[in-house]
Amino acid sequence: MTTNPPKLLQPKLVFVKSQVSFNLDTYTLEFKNRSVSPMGVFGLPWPPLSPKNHFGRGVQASLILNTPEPIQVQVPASLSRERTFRSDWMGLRFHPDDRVFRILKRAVELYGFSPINYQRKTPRIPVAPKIQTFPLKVLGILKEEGLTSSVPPIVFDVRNISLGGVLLTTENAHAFSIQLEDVISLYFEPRGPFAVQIHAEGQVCRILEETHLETGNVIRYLGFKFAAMDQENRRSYLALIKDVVGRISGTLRSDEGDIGES
Amino acid sequence: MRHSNPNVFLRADVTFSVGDHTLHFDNKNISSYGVFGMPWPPLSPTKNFGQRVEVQLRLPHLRNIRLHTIATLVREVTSTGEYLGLRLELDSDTDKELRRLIEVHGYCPKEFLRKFPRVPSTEVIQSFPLQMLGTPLASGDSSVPLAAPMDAKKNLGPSQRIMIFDVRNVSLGGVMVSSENALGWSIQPKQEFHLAFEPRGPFKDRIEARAVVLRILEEPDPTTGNLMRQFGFRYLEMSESDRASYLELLKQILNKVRVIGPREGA
Repeated sequence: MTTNPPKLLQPKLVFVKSQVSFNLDTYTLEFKNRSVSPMGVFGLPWPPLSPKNHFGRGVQASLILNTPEPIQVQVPASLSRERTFRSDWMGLRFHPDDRVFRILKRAVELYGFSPINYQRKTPRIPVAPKIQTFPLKVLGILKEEGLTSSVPPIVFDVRNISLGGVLLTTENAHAFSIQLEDVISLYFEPRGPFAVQIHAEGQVCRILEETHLETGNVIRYLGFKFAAMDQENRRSYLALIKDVVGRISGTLRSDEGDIGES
Repeated sequence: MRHSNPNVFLRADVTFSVGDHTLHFDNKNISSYGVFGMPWPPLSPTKNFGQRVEVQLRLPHLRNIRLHTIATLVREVTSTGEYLGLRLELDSDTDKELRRLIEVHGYCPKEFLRKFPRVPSTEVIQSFPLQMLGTPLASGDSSVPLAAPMDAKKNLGPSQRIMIFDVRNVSLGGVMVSSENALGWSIQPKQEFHLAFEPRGPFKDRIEARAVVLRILEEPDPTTGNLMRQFGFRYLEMSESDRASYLELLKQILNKVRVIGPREGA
């Protein structure tokens, strides 16, 4: 969009490398040199566990952070599942207390790194309700080859936006019908002084599921890349991103909205 | 569904100043959320809306206890008129004290016994619907089409006139929702909408209803300054199956939540 991206759009430290291990049922799983953030660790292989039987289960994860003086922490976590074009993955969504959250955050600040794809692709802007114009909701209408869709319109919450796509969530069970590669008409709900409803066609390129800690509801994250956007909507979307970036201060918590490396 | 009726209001004399004007209202219903239903004059809803003021609350029936707080001027529109409201911004001690006084010395208006209690929105109840879709209906003498800016109109497809609302509270007879969408500024009392609750969690039914706007409360969002519009809808029509689903949903929710008064959550 510009030759000199604003500070917010510059790569930021997100992850720190760590050894991750946990026990579940009769299994002990250990993963070396994984990218973890205070939010969790994603992109782990499922076997010997299964997404069908173990999704949503709670575990106590042991982390040994790859810092000059290795730091060991224990953190409660729940198993999430993630689907991309390539494969199914397991994730651990951390539920750290304040102390552990601070330790992880500090480790990322001091010894963390930016994933390489942040430098190649357009960076994500995590949801920021305090920003007047940041869109918080999107209406999604599934397109089914010109026929009326059997899936009713779905209201999504916005988790992050970028020039190339958007990450949305829903607790609506009808969203289970949505699969990878589906194309959905997305309508951004205008907010505050930015009174333009932006429309884009989004293709589902990533699905992450986790359980809501308090309600037990399955939260579905759907990563969309924009498959089509006409010129006028593109212009409006660029104006929206510019507006949002202009309003965001540098105090935004660096890990809000990040749900892993993908 | 039977519910106890908790105390909601306390009577207070309300005094505040704006510019050259000092306004005083005797014997008003107050809750920890605010004071509503006051006449605007000599203030103006366009000029003074959103201003913050220092308010004195005197409780004449409680040894003239005085409470002081900051409040924001909000506006409320119903089919009968436009009213001034005060959204109280109580510090935690004053909030605690006012809630205690209401609990001990307050009262529950009689109309609560006749009408349906409202259940405030909470995300911790698995199936509580947090959002709903609203489409303005063009039929009916009093309906006003939802305005959209010219630049948006060209791009809108099937959702052209659909708005996403946040649910603030639900009751058997209606729902209170809110929106920060400027396209909703043209919505007026008496306007009819087609509403559809967004299903959540294990409750998969998409409940739909025809409803009319009874009340609009406007206030600036304290964090962003955005105009937050709250719409009180009364259901006019619901199919039998939607009605059955809605009753089932309320039943599930009421098993887990406390019942609040009419102004709370507004």
